[in-house]
Amino acid sequence: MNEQHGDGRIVPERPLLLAEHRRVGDAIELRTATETFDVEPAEGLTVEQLAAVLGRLDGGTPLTEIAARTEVPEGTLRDVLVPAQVAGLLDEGAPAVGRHPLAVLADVEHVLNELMEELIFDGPFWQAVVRRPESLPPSVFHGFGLENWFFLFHENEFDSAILALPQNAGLRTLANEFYQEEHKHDDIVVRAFSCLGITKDDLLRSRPLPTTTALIRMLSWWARTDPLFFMATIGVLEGRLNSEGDAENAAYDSFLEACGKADLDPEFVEPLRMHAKINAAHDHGSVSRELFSRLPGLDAATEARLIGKAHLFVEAYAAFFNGILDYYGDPARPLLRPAYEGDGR
Amino acid sequence: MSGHRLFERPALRPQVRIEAGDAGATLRYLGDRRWLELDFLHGGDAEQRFLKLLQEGGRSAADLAEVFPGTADELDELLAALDEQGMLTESATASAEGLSGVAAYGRLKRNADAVRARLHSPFVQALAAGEVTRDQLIGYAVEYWHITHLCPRALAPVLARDDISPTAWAKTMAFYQMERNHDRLLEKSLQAVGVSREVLRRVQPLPATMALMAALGVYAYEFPAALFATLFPMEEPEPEFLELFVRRCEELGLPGEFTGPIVAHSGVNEDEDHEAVTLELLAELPFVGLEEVRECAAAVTDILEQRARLDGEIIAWYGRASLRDLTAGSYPSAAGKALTCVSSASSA
Repeated sequence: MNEQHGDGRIVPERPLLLAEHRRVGDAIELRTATETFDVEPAEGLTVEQLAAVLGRLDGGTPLTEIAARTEVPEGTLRDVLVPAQVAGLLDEGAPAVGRHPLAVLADVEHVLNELMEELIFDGPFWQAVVRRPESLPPSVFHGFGLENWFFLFHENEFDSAILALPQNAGLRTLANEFYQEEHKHDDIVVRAFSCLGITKDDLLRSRPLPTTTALIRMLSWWARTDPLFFMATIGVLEGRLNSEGDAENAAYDSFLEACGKADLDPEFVEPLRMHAKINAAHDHGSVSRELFSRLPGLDAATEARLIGKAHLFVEAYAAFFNGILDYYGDPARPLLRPAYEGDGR
Repeated sequence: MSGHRLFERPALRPQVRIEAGDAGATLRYLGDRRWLELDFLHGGDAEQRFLKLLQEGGRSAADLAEVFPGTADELDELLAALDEQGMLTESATASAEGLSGVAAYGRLKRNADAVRARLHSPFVQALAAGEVTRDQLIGYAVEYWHITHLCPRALAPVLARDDISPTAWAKTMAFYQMERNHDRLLEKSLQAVGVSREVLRRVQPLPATMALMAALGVYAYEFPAALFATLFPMEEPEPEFLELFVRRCEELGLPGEFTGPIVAHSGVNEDEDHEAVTLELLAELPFVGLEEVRECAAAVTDILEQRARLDGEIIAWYGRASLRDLTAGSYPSAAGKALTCVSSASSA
């Protein structure tokens, strides 16, 4: 018996022995279709006790009951069973418990809903855009478009990390479809900037705000290290950004409405509206649900992990919006921040 | 938005408050931030009964349609509107079938035993027949060195994963630390037959060696459960093989300094109980979907078949050529041809 296995969690809770057993002298012979094992009782156990234990490995009796009935302490019992488990001679009779994946996602969504209201819609950016769009300089609206373009331009960085998903073919198919649908969305939004004299080349020579890169990099990291959590965020990232609008309107409807009130150039607004409509047509706000609906059950530790990270995600998402107001709120600042500063050498 | 249709058993969130009056009801969520007003067009009793059932949960949309005072389309519109405000949740408890990690291990182990029963190793057969050459024995050690040398690189990506339990992470880290310097043992072996570390750094592994390590590395990047599952077929002690190997080395006059570290490495794996690492890591997964367990089984089988192929490749290549320092000199095409035509019969 190896002491490393002392916690005994590596044996089934309702073990089923997949071998026939019979007593041979002071030992027990275990026989499978292909192999025979001779087992001697561990120290402190009689061969009768060992036989009694083996006789109760029926897949229905819990370890605690086997321990009580055979008068073998549970810790000893688990240790006795470890070699049989390592050798693949035991199966588990107790069902594995996994919670419905959409029930888990719905609980994550509750956290997202609550924090979206408190941190994002109650935050300075959305309060200003919704309550007093006329008072904002156009640069705030332009900045929103630009930072969204950066986000879309880098979207393949995170979306691509979940394309392989070897453990679930249905999930993989959906992730690939989503990737294809998102491909080149940055090229739709880039048209918004021609009225500002900004070309794609200008954008490639510039860099996003640190609040934008923070969101992009976090999503990229999660897509690589915790793809399930990344998948839980897509519904928010692709969904509507309006806590008060009606269901008929597309994503960004609060923003587009504000653009109207602030009398922004339609040449700037229309490409953004087009992008929002395309996302709505693909029902991208439901992507997280669709992905999760393909999952098997989820355990409690996974749920706790997703709930915890949901808070961090919304913090980064709120900072993304508020960073736009913070920087672009001053119309004297350049719309584009160059990749190089100084003389660029 | 049609996300509400994905719910098996849609229900109102417990956080939703219903304020019912004579003519209608207001549903509120997140204080007064999200709300929806419903007009009672059917007297009120039927609507209130429906809302109570929706609050209780446990019913499918079809079940709900039977008690909803309106058409199925109207119910769908209402559920969409509620979901738009974030007021719906999933009340189904049953989920797709799965296994505990402990149970999954048993399946994988029995699968591996069945696969092994039909596989045979051309290298072991040649050892038993006394036909293995000195170059092939050294070649075996070189490939073994590649495995130990690549092992930390293959394992490292899983240490970045943030979706395995803290215990599984700690165990993986400990395993990584243990494996880190195992290539040094093999370097001692190979030094004894004139193969220096500098040379080893230049030589290419055989394709099956690379395939094995690439598999582990890719699983470490994107499929931790398969990495855990494939550790035991890589780490199982093989005392009978070792005995044949040492005997053949002695027959061919290879020094004890060559065989010693190889035997010692095998002993290290046994002492550190590397075989059980799969069980210990999988035991950290409370629930693994059946599809995921099946993919892990395929991964285990593939590792075992690659190992059988590797044994064939050692015989094929090192029977015709020596160290695979492919950066200099001409490529031994005959050995390459033999290598790439190794029959998969041993793994069929």
